[in-house]
Order: sequence, then C-alpha cells, then structure tokens
Amino acid sequence: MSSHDARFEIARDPLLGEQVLCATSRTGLRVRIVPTDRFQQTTAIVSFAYGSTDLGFDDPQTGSRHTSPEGVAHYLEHKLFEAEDLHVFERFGRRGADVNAMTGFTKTSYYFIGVEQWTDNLGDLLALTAKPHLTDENVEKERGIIAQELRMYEDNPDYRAFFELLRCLYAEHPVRDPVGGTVESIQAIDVAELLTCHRVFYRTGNAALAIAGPVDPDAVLELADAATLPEGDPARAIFPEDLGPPARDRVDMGFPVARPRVMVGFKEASLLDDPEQRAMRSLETRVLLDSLFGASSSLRERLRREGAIDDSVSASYLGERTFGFGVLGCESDEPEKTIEALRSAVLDPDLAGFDEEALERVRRKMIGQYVRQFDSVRGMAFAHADVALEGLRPFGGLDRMRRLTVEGVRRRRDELFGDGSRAAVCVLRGDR
Amino acid sequence: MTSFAGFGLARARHDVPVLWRRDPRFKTFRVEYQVRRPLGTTAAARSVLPSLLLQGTMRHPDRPSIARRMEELYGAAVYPGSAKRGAGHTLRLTLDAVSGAFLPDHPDQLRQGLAFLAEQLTMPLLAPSGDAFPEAVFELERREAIAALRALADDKGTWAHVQAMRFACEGEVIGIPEFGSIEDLVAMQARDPETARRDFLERGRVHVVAVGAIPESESELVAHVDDLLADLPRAAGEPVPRVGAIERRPVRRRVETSPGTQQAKLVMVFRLPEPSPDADEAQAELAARRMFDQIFGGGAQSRLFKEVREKRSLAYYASSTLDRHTNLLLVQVGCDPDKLAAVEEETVLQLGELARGAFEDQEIAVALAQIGSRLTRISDSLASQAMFVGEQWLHDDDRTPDDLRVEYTAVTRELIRKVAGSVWLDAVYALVPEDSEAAKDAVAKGGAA
Repeated sequence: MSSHDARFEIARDPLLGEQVLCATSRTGLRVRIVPTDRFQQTTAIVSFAYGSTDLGFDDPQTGSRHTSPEGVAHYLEHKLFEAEDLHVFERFGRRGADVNAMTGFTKTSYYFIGVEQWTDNLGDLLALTAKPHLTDENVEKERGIIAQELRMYEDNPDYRAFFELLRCLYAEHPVRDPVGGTVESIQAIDVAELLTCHRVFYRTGNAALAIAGPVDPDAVLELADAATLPEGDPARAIFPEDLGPPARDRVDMGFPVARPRVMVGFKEASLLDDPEQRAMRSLETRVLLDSLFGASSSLRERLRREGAIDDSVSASYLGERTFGFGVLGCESDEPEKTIEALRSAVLDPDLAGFDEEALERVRRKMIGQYVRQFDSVRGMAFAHADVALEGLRPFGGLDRMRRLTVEGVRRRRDELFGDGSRAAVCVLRGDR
Repeated sequence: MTSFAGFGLARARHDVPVLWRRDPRFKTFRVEYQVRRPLGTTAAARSVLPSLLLQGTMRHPDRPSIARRMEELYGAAVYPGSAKRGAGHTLRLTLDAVSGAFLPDHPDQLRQGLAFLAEQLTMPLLAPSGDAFPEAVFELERREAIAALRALADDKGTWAHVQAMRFACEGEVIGIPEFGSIEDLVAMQARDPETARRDFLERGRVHVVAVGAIPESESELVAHVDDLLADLPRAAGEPVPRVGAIERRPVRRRVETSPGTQQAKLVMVFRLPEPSPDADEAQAELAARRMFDQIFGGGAQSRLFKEVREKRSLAYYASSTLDRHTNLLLVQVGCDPDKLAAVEEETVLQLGELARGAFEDQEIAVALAQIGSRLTRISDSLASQAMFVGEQWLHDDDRTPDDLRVEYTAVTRELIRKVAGSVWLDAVYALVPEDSEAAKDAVAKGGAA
C-alpha cells in the first residue's frame, strides 16, 4: 500500500481485515476507495448533502435569503443528465454501464455500475455533477416528465399517506413536502433557480465520492483531483425549529383504495448534531422496531392472530440532523383497531420480550449483515459514501453493534414513543 | 455430463441434479431447492404454500421461533417461495447464509442451514390428521393471501400488468394468474396446500443449485444435499410442457378504469413465433431477440425511452420486456391519459422502423455493450448466478455467460430486423382515470396498429 499516494489513510474493518482507502482530493472532495479484484464490476457514487429539505439558505453571492420552490433538488438531479453533446445515458450506455441518480430529504446521489472503462465512467460521473447544461427549452421539457412522475407517485396510497403523515407531524419543517415537490410547485422552477442551487450546494465540501471494484486508487484520486466541481463549502441551509407537538394528530383521507391503510408517526422531540450519536440512535431505534414488529416478535404474531394487523405491517425510522421520525404502517379493513393496536404495541411494557438473549440474537443477525456487505460491490460503495458524507468513521457499525444494550433500546422506546408527539393517518375508501 | 453452463453437475440422492459452483470470492453461499410442476387450477393453493411452510415446523412450532432460528444462524435467510414461469409453477426453498469461515467460532452454517431448510420442507406443522395444515393457521394465511391479492389493485403498474396478462392470454395456460383468484382462495380447503406440497415433492421435477462459499469437494457438498433430500420421496420428475405459439389474430383491446388516479398505464402485449425446433437455430434466434428487445425498449438507451420519453415527453416510463418462457414481449408505459394514443402510435412506429432496418450500427453496439456488461455482472452476485444457471437448466441450455457473449457478437443487423418483423401486436390493455373519456375512446378504437 506504500506505493500509493501519501494522502491515503487506510481504515481496516476489525472483524475480517477488509479495508477502505480514505483521502481528500486537492479540491476538498472526500474520497473512499475499496480496490478489490474479487469482482468484475465497478460501482462509483458521488453524493451531495443536498436534498429536498434544503429550501432556505443565505446565498453567499447575493447576501440575501433565498427560498426555493419545493422539488428543486429533484428537478436539478433530472437536469444534470442533460449534456451539451451526447446524452449522458448514451455516453455510459456505449460502455455497457448503467447510470442513475436519486434524491432524498437530505441527500442527492449519482452513481454508475459498469465492467469496463471505469476511468471514463468515473470522469463522466464527476463531470455531470460539476456543470449543468440548462436551457429554457430543456428545463421546460423536463417539467412535463417530472409532472408525470409526480402524478404517478400521487396515485400511490402509501406515498400519499406518508406525506400526509409528515404534514401532520411537522407544521413548518420542509420534510413535510414531497421530495419531488408537487405539479404546482415545480411550475416555479426555472433555469436561474436551478443554477443558483447548483452553485450553492454542488461543492466539494458538501460531497463524497466512493468507489469499489477493480480500480487503481491513485487513478481514482487523480480523477477526483481533476474534477471541476466547484471548491468550498455550501451555504448552510436554514431550517425552522419544529420539535413541538404535531401540527395535527389525526387525518382521515379518502382515496380510491382496494384496501384501507393506516400510518402512525412518532416525532423526535430532541435532535442530535453529532453524527456518531445520531448513528447510534438510529441503530437502537432499528433494533427497537425490529423487536416489536420483526418476524421474530411474539407481539407482532399475537396482533396478527387477533386480526389487528397483518403481514403488510412495516416499521421504519429516519433520524437526521434537523428532524427525526418513526413510522408504522399497515393495510387494514378495521383501521381504528389497527391504529389502537400499533399505539399500544409501542408502549408494551415488556418490549415484546426483548432481553439479553434477544439482544444476542440481534447481534448475531447484525454480524451476518455486516459480513454480507462485503459480497456486494454496490453495497460497499453506497455504504462508504454515506459514512463519508456523514463524517463517520469507516466500519464503525461493528463497534456500535457491540455497544448496544437492552437498557439503551428501552430508553429509545421511552424517548421516541413516550412523549405523545405522534399522529395518525387513515386512508379510507372514498373519493380523492 | 459433469458440468453445465459453467457449473459443476453432480447427482445426489434420488438422482437429483446438483448444479454447483464454489466461488471463493464470496463470504456467503446460496443453496436453492427447486421443484417444478405444470401450471394449473391449483395455483392458489401452491402460492399460499410458502407462507404456510413459514408458520411452523415440528421443531419450531410458530413463526417467531422460525425467525429466531434464522437470527441464531447469523441472519441466514431460509425461506420458501413460489413463482410462475411460462407454463410451470415452481416451489423454491432458498438458504442464503454467511459462511462459518467468516464468523466467530466458525459454526457449520451449511449443515445447520440445510437441516433447517429440510425441516421447513419435510416437517411442516400439520393438523393431527396429517393431511392438512391446522385450521387456524390455514385460515390466517388464507386471510393474508386474500388481503394481499386485494391490495394488488392499489399498485397500479402491477395491477395493469396482471390484468393485461389475464386479458391477453385468456384461455391459455400462461393466462392463469400466479396467485390464483380471490374466488379460488375462498373455495380452498386446509388440505389443498398440503396436497399441493405433496404433489410438488412426489411428482415434480427437482434440481438443486449451490453456489458461493461452499465446500471445495464435490462429494462433501453432495453428502450435504443427500442429507437435505433424506426424508423426501423420489420425485417422478414429470415434465412441464413448453408454451406453444398461437395463430396470429386481430388486435384485441380492453380499457378499464381506475377511479381517482391521474396517470394511465398502458400494456401492449406482443407475440413472437415459437422458437425453431433446431437447438442451434433457436439459440441464435434467442440472441437476436434479446438484442432486438434491448434496442427497442430495454433501457435508457432504447428507442422507447429516447423517443417516447426523452424526445416527445409522452411518458414518464416506457420499456419492453421479453419473456423467453412465453415468447411474449410486453411494452409497459405510465403516462398522462391524453397521451395514450400517441404513445401507442409511437411504439408501433418504432417497431416498424426496426422491422424495416432503420436503425444505426451504434444502437447495435450499445445493445451489445449493455447485454455484455449484464452477462459479466452475473458472476458478481450469487443470486444472479443461481438464477442464471437455474434458467439455463429449465431450458436445457448449456451455454455459459461467456458463450452467450460470443453469440451476441454474431447477431447481425438482418437477424434483428427479422425479429422485429416477426413481432405482432396481440392485445392492448389500458388502465385509465375514470374521467378520461377521450383516452378510453382512443385506446378502445386503436388504429395505430
């Protein structure tokens, strides 16, 4: 490893000795590389800490407060695939590579998966995020495509219920808005708006690149050094403090569903700025939800036999720097019964029998998941990009797993479910 | 024969073929037991069987205890599933686990995992009569299956696909829905899924796939598989018939409404002729068909994506899928209702362009690069490797991904053109918002074809 660029630091995983090379490009881009000849494919992902919730910021160029229309991060993601000469899909396609992107609440990511010419693919991936090719005409054309995408989502009852639930939980925080915005909100997005957001947020200090596959680390770093992504840090997005009680605690909405469904949401009353603490909190919450609603839960099985829930039940959690919430969902022909069952279940004093023995089983399962990640090029690249973007230590998951305690999971239950910051949405058969 | 499609081929107890490939690049392994029967009126009972097998065994009497056992095996996934493929219905039990070599104390994950898989397959929790699942367990899973089937209608893309297949293939074996119907589920008795299990085990055609971090020695692996098969009867191995071609006929059309939705779904069901009876010709034909599908609607570089979505902004998605088992080519589109007619017209136009050879060499090169890349990537995933060799086995097709790559390079422009010319539109199905009278009218009348 000594022959590599001196800027590399090697992080080793404590269980298997697998390694990732960590560096920062000359322009300030965080870079993570898993060079491995075990696989034939290469996956690279470049992620930006810029998502649908980053709507308000002080523009460093004008010095004035800027507020974007909802859906701008997603719109920008679409438009970055526009190139001056050859369409981006075509460019990657000629090399047999797939290229795609995704936008979330706090992050936008671009990635490719290919088996040949990884240097060309990586160069193009970095180039596509560095400079938008926007014209009034191509921005207008995209509006129609995005509008169709949004209408497709709006036809999905789970999507509608989820964002209705977030609108209940949050009065002001932009997490309450759909990631892609609405057909109405995207009408206000134009070339100038997209260029402003790109200039402010698409910067090396706000991004991370991770790549896994049969790659030469020095060549990766050279390409990262040469990338024309603007240097520097982004403007810090401004968020309203929205930690209080939910805006509404219950909404019943009509929708032409074959099966009614319910969603119950729980809002974090406190936020954590430190990424490591946040990661630990997320892990504890995952274990908590799994102990209550996972396949091994006797509580889940009892509720299922009682007809209060069925196998469509789901439980998820998202904990970010400026918001955090847990969501339970289930299809149901008796929505009130299901809502009541879910609300009671989270307060189960016995925590569905979660004890030291159960924790040991959970640890075993997690060790299995941990080892599995090394069998997927894509999984490794995506995971390292997330860790780098969050500012976490590589392979920190194993240590977190070891620090899990029954007490910690119980405390998490009290924090998330105990203070009544919750809301429910019921999707009933009816007109939209 | 000691090898097949790049895998070793061994024979285990009852002469069951074991397709195996030790791949030391992986820290996990995957073993699949698959048994296949002709698709038939028992589809509902077969499709509910996997969830019943997960409700308990003689040793692990309920679902939580089964899930806990998987957790103890370091999160191994040991699960049954069923799937419709062509004119066949497959029951598959999969063991997907981390090799003990990479775990603390090096447990024998393969032996323990296979024992647990065998337990699910051979020792389900049955009623005292021994010929049916316990009534309460059966009723609960029947309720779950009915609920899941009803909920399918809420996923409009999936629903449109199901309804289109039902409409287009009415009266054919391949038109039988994978999960049966709600009526079938209501009429089902507790003994039906158990009868289906026995029917699979006694009359089905079985094979086993093992890949990844498995033992180096073939005999050691076969001994493990023998243990898996120890309590199973020798299956009769009755064949599953191939899907035959149907006579060309005028395009049939159906429009259904989906109250309260905004986006329309269009499914165009195209047919291809039956493959040549000559194996070599059929293989060359298949390569040409896949190249055609890739160029026509196989991805973001395809005609449908570029012309329908990118150039004309007619749809959010538009793609085609070729099914080797049924010789069907499905075009699926999500678009505004007022664009349905234009989408159909453009799709037929693009097909016509390909049929008269109006496509660039560059399009062939891109399709070749895409397919080649996908074939190479098969080796990077155990699930993909297992799926690949399983499919090849069902088609008695011994070619490896490398063989196929070579074969694709031999596909000529003329062969692609011929495939495009042989494709014919059989049925058009649209799911449209309630108030889209004009769209309904346009699709119902057609005209583009």
